[in-house]
Amino acid sequence: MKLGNNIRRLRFDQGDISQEMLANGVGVTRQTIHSIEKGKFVPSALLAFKIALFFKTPVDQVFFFIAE
Amino acid sequence: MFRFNKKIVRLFTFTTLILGIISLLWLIYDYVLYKQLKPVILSFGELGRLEVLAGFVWLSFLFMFMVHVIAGITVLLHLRYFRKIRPINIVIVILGITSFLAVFSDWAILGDIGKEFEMGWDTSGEWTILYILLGIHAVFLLLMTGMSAGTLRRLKESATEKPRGQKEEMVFTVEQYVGLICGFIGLVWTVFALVLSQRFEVSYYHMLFTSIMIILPYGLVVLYWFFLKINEKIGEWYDEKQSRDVYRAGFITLVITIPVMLVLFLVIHNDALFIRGHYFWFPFLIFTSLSVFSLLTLIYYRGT
Repeated sequence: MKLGNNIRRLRFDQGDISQEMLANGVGVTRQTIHSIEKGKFVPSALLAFKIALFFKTPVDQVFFFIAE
Repeated sequence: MFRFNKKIVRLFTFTTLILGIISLLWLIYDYVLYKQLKPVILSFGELGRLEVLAGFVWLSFLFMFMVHVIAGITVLLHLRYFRKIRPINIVIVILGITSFLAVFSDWAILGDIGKEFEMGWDTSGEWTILYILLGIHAVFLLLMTGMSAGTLRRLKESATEKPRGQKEEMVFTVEQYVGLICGFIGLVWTVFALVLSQRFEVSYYHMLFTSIMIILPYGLVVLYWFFLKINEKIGEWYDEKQSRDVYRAGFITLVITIPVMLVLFLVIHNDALFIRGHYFWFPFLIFTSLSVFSLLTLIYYRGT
């Protein structure tokens, strides 16, 4: 199982939010957001909820499982 | 978190610009004096008034040392303020460290030339190195002065400050680059000094001093980083990905350095090569750990 995400789509849907703006909003570096978006880094539950809260979206709308 | 406003960035940038211009003029003075000194020294002639003028060259090294420290702080302030690493920043950091270390080499080589001149030895090789080092200083100072002038213009154009991130990224990245460069230079120097020690006496204190000088830029960046983090809880120094990358890099560094040091331990006790330089293991360990750790942190941070 892998963790997929809709962060990129949500960023553009909610008015071209940059990775840096999102990073500043949830208190991580831009590189961390980039890695999460690319699926190279699995965030902690706390960070996942913070990202969902930032987009004002339920967490399962931001992150989802991908069956391998 | 410690915050830098535009005024501090502008003050340091302006100071670097002025000091850079003065240093470039001083470099021209050094170059002209070298041109006059070289033929006299190579032909073992009378130094006369040149000996007095050469005193200003020594003074220029002290000045250059100060300029490099201030330029280092300015580069860090720029990275923190603009929050963007451009290729020119990386080039300036690499050249800056090389040029900073070259100040000490200038000092040592001029001292050697003086001693060898008194003993009647040929110094043409030392002069070549001196000119190369002069070139390194010149390229760094030109780039640094140019970048300072450009930054002053950018500061004037930007009406508002850029938004600040809650987690430090620039200093973290620069710290790894500086660690990698210092570690690599230190490793090359340790191996070179070890080979040199088989023919000449390389004293313990000489090795200690040069190792401290090589690691100094990294120490200053780490100090600056601590200064930024001093008001934060230890658990908040890194974000969760940075923490993971640092832990992974630390673990792999441990795994790599243990067998390397085991091999070195066996060689030291069985090989005559190390008889004259039994203290080389320590700088070797420090520089190996530093370069491997910095390289791995960079790879993990940038690549994953």
